[in-house]
Amino acid sequence: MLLFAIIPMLLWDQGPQSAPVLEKAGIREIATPNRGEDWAGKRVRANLVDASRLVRLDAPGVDYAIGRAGATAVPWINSNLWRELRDTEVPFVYDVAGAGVLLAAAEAYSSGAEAYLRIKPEDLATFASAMTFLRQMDGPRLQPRVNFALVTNATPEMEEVMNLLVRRNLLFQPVAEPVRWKGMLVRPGTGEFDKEATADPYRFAAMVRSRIGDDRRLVRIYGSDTVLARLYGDERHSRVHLLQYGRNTVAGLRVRVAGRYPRVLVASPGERVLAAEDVVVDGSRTEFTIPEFQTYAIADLDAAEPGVLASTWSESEFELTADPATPHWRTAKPSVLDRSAFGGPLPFGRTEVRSRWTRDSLYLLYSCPFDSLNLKSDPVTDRDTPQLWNWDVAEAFIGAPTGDIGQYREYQISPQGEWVDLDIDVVHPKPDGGIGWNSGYQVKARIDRAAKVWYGEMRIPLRSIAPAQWKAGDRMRLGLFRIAGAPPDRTLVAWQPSFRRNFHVPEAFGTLLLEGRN
Amino acid sequence: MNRRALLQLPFAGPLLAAPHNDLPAYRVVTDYQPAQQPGMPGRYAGQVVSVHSPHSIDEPTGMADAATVDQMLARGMTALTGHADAASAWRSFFNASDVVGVKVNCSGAPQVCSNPVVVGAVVRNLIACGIEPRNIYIYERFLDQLTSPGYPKYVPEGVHVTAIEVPRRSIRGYDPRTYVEVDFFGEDDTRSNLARLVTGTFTKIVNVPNMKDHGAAGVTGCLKNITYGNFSNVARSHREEKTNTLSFIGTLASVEPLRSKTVLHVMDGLKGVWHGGPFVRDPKFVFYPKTITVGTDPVAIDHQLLDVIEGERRKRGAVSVWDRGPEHLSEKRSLDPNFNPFIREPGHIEFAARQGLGVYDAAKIRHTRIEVA
Repeated sequence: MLLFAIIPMLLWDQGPQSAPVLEKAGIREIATPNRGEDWAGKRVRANLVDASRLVRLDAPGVDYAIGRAGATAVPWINSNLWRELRDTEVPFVYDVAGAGVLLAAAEAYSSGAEAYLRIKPEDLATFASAMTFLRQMDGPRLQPRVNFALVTNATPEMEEVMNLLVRRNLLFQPVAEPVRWKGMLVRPGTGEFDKEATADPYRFAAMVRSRIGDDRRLVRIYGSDTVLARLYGDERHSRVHLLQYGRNTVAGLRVRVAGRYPRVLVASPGERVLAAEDVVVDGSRTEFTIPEFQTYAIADLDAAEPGVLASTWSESEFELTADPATPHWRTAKPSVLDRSAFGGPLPFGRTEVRSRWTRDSLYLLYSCPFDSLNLKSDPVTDRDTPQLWNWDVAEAFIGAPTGDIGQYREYQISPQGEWVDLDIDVVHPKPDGGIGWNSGYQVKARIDRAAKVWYGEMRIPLRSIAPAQWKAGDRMRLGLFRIAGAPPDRTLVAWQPSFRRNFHVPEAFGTLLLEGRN
Repeated sequence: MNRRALLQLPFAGPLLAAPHNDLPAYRVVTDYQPAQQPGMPGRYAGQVVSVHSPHSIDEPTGMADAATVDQMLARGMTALTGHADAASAWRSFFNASDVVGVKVNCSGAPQVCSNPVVVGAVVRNLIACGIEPRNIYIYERFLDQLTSPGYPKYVPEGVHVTAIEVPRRSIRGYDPRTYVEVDFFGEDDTRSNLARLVTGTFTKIVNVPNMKDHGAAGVTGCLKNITYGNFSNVARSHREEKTNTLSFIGTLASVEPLRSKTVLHVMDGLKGVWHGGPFVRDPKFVFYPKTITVGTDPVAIDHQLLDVIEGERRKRGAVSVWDRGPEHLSEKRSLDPNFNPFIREPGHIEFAARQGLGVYDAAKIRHTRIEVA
């Protein structure tokens, strides 16, 4: 079973009569401390929580009393991360308002803590928006990446030490004695980290930093004194949570992560398109810049090289057969879709996509293995099928190589030959979702039930992608996807994982390369 | 300059050997190679030309006289280059294909900054070299400082007046691949990045600093203006009474392509600040050298600046910029010229000389003084 992180929940003191207020804000689930309330029949699910068990946390943020404690010129960050990292079995509660709502939710989510937020009614929409973002980003749980393990104890000095380590972005895993740990182990009160050092958190943090060495730190942050990072994952996929405790928008943040990750995808609440800039990858480290964000950003780092699907030239148009064995498809080299939208493995075989192009058309052929099919009854194939993506479907998102990356075309085909084509604008969505646009593309589908593979072929007019004179060597932005299975076990397949429950992430697209001559 | 293979070098810059054990360890990361003849110290190493005119600025109003400034600049440039006329002298540095950054100093604006009359004269000379106005950028790090001098009124339409860091603390105006990495005081952000304008837009830079005392560096002239005014995250070099300007300024000035592209320094000394710099904390610290100094060697020019500031302070009975006595340290008494928040580091100029940025030895500097009536 895949384990997902814990998404914070609204702690709501008001009774069932407040359900319409919650519904209006888009909140469908709450935690209530009040026994005996009947939320049945409401469109809000209520979960009883024992409020006496909840440990109250301070509102996260920043205190600009510069120079406090005398050893630093940076603002004082009020973060609860250290407590959430240490007390993993404790449920927490925040009393927060305004901008603190998102920061508290992000703090709890990024640390994996079970947390509840008690907020004011005027902040319900903010909370709902934060939850929408977290749910979209929430994927299989990743392991923490840390530079060292810290043997903790219950002393106040230790709390200050942990607090400062977190604030210095020195990533650690709290551990208790007896401990088995393979990497660097810091045991306060012993060796160089003696009692004297432990009594001075600044000195302690400086010693730890020196011991690790800046070059070996898993995460470095440049361009802000008020952004804290948490890192999860492995050498294939890492996720960095970036929390801005300051009140200002972060106008450019440079992040360095240990590991080689050519694909960097950034998400931030409220930002529909947010492309990482100046990505630099060397043998052992990846750097990128987040151009701007407020409060919270998540960066997913993918070790896979950005995908390129080569489309083979064809002198003439050819009949749609949905058959990879035909001569014109046999020579086309496929690209493989073998990962989920979150980059994980799939419960069925790998999907292959081949492409050819002519002077006027782009052809795509999907070969989609399946265990079972989720098909729409009464299929219609002579016009668009709205919301076709609620059934098994293969999709291609194709955009012009230049211009607004948030604008592109979407072409879908089902195993039964249903289709829908859409004119997409991610930042300014069309009122009808773009379904009013028609590309004039043609499709052919075929199900081989014996082999448990369905095939879908598209002939897309090149002019529908962009009114250009396409020539060999030209490139397009391309996303290839598949949705398989019936709810609630739908599998989202992505050629270039977006690491969220959404394919409409143009920053994640790969490239279609027109090869050959024309 | 050749841009070396991307993706390989940003993590592989050389670690500069600290000349003294107590100096910070710097790591310079850049993809750029030096030009065959780097702009600093340039063609006229060890040469300084100072042009003085009593009519260059009206002290009561603070208004510069454009005609006199033009004449001073022309005399300075011809004396520096040996060319018969100013146009030829400017053309020996710039041609029509250049994209030129004019690095002004606005930290003391509006009272003491790169005077717009001087900047206007520099821009006119650049345009006379055939450079289109749209290829000239008057620039400074911070927009709020750049606004008050009103440069657009003094230059033709099309000339850019632009700030690197908008808003303050934004790193987007800086090149993520070109930086100096150093840990001064245990700060976590250990990088100072060079402006993208310098790495990606300009082919050459004219540096237009002022004549000012500086609470940390001792003086702020060519070297301080071209470095702390082009790199991010530099204020971290000072903490409490300690400042690392001694070695940081020269290190930053040595970074390519800044060193190669900075081909000319025009020090605006119409007005100066003899204490409390780089800001103008009190008008009583303003003085009027009425001088424009030109050269390609920032070290040689700044050495004469040291003499000017030190001389003015001596005249006013203030302690020397070289004074390191703890009894003269006070952040709260900055309006008293015998107190300073930092131990000043005027030795940064000699340090820069050791980095190959110019000539510090007074005996080897040829200082030409010209008087314009």
